[in-house]
Amino acid sequence: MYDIAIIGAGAVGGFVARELSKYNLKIVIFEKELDVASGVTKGNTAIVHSGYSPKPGTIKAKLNRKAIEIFPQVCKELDISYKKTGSLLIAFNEESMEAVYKKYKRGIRNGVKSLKILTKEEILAIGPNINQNAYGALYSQDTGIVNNWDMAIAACENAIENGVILKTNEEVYKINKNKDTFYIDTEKGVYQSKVVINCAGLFSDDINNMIGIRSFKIVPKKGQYFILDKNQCSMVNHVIFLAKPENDKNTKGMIIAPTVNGNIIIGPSSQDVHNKADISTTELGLNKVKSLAKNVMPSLDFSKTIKTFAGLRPKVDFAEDEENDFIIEEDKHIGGFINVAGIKSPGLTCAPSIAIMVKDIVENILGKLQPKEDFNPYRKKAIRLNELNEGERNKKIKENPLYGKIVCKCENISEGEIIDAIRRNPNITTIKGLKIRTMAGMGRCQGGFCMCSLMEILSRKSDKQILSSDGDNNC
Amino acid sequence: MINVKLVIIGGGAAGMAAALGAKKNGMEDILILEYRKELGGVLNQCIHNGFGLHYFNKDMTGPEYSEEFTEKISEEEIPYYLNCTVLEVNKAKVITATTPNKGIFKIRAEAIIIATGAREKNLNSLILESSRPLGIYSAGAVQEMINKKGVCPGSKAVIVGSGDIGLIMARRMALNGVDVKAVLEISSKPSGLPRNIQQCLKDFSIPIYTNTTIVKILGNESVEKVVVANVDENLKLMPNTEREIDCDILVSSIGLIPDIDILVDGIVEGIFLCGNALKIHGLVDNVTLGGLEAGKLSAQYIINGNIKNNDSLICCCKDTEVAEKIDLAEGSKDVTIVTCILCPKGCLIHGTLDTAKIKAWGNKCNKGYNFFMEEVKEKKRIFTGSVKLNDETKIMLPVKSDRPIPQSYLIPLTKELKKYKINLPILMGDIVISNPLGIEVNIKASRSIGK
Repeated sequence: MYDIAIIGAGAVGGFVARELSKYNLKIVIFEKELDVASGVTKGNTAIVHSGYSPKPGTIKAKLNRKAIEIFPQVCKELDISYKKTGSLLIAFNEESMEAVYKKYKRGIRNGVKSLKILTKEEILAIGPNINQNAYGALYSQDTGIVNNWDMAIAACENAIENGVILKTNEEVYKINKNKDTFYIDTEKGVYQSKVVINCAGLFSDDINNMIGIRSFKIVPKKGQYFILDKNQCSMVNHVIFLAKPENDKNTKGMIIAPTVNGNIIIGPSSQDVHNKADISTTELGLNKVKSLAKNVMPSLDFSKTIKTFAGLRPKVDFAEDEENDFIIEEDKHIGGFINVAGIKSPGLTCAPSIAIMVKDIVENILGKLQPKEDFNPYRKKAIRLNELNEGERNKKIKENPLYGKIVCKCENISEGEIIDAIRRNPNITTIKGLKIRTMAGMGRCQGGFCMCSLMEILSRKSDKQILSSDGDNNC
Repeated sequence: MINVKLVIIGGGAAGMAAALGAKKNGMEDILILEYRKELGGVLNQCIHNGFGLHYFNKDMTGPEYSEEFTEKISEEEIPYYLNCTVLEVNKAKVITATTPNKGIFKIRAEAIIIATGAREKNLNSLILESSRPLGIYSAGAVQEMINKKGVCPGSKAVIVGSGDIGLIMARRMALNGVDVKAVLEISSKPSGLPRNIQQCLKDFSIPIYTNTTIVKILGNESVEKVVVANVDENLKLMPNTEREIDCDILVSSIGLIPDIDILVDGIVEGIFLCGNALKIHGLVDNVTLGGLEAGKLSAQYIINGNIKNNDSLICCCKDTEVAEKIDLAEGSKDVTIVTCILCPKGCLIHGTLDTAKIKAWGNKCNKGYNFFMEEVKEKKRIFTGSVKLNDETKIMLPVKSDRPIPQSYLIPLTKELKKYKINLPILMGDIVISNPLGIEVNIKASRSIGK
């Protein structure tokens, strides 16, 4: 019998597991995919939002503010790549400038610090590549960028280190409650738990429908992106948001931002889709992103695209009069069943603060939680030779010469780093998993040179023949 | 920091030629840096024949062509580091590199030759409708899988782009039992050499669709189908021309890009570029000529200190003289058209098969005339493939037949060779299998391993 069963191992499920692993609880996570970070977390813009966007008083606003406070500490503990870059919400005309002012006021009410309205001259001074027609902007110092995959991977690794059991490739298809016990049927067995936490992202409505009383439906919103070559990185130093006029539902904001890996990410488009597996890019969607981005930054060179991809955001199909907020609550009738649903932007940012809120709900259900004495808050990521100085790097290569043997020469990732990644827990069984952990195959040649070696190393180290490149949906 | 007068980055066709060119012109202090575990670059995975026709006046496979040069490099005692990846080259001509044994180290050079080759453009970077499922590979990656690892990643293939690499992979997959559904070419003419259209596509009845592009990749987990459509002369999609093709591998051969991103400060005086790092070459023979020239100029630069502007860009790739425009015509009832595959010119030889008197025209040399006569009697081809080795390394030994064999034997022979395991050591030219399938032919090693 588990105390807690978490469904979904994305950033939210991972952080909830990690938060609860601070207490004496028996916890299991079910993930239907082969790896963590396989859903919404994977195809993400990877922005840490400062919190001026959510409507004051909403859960989003509250959690965003909290998240910004704890984010640096969390990333330090979990060794997640995070960089505070600051952001510009840019308007190109008077109408959208009004929206900018509105966000500024919201930001103030939400308690966001270091907000500033910039004039055109000030914008161009810090973002010389921005279109000369810029009208004004909201500068927010606290905006940042983060490694989205590592948000889930690090949290899960740390949760596992603290005793959480992760079951990947295990889909939940039935949940029942009898007296105070939930019976969770997966394809591999029936598990019992006192509390069930639904962090199933795009599929949180399906999980909810298995037992919950409050009904909601997830309508995925597709976002399409471009990733540009690292050699373009000097183009963009801040996260740049395009402001759209208030109440204009037809035009779409968009983002141009650096990534923690040194590329540029441009997107997302926004399109309702009805198939939760539809992560296809489309010509129409990508071309829209391209033309919007070209307006913001005319000198962006799309011939330097190394990858296009699409991701889905789990938008809840709220009624007109309902606030478009996160759903984070215990079901009013089914005690012990907690929904964490509709976690779209700023969901990645809020994952750590969502986890704390969920912990409070769990405490309400199970009573005061007993802190675990030997909880280890720290997780060390696998070493990245690129991030070491020459002396440290040579020391590492002396210990293990495979650190000196480069497999992916676009990202300069060594065989040693790849083997380290394979040996971590949770285990990697896919090339995709290897790619998002090491960045091997994620560079400008997209695995053309190293795919064969990656397959060979993974086959050798995991004792199974990996014959396919395993695609890379979404990385 | 160590000091070396001339550092050559890349030990493939261009880099090896550059080293030899420099040595010949009096340069003694040379070092080649190669990121793979052996010299030869991509030549080692290009196990097909057709190399060396100009430079050696011989029809060689990639590994054979490579071994000619690796032998010379060792004869000349030119030093090289293997498994050595260059991380950057700066304007002070200081190279930062890493190897398993040495770790990170720096070399200061008086001149540097960039012979780093090219990388393939990837399908992921295109604006395309796709969920990026499993089964999308670059032609080079598939080449490495099949030829070097003996692993074939699927059973039904579509190839995007009709460059030579794509055509050669079409044939290689067909030889390995893959149903190659089509080669797609967005322009109106194939971009590969005529002889490859003949020996890689026509020989295997693989269709090439010109004025056709890929618009969608279908399949969520794995590639299931692709949707293709016609384009007009402005490369705009033509409505109502979309159609689906079933496949489980999609191979891209949509072009090469010089791979010179290690030059963090760009090209400065004393940095020379050659081979595909400078410009994409059609023939390795021309890469060799460019490499030799780069070696010579860099030696002169170091020894005499003078260099003319633009000398640092060394390219010897006069476009191959192609006898006729590539023509996909099949001939007519009276006139048979044969594409000569003996050299890259790819003469389109026309002939009448009136038994009383066979006539042929369009050939630029006598060899072509003879080729036509043979071809209309029975198509014969040099067989190339790879065979497993009886050791732990899981590397494959590239092999070729010692004479052309009937084209219809190529696929059965490829299948037959999967049964063999060859014992080491092997010298290039060793007969490793005699008369397989009862065909009177010797299968010879295309390279030396373990000696």
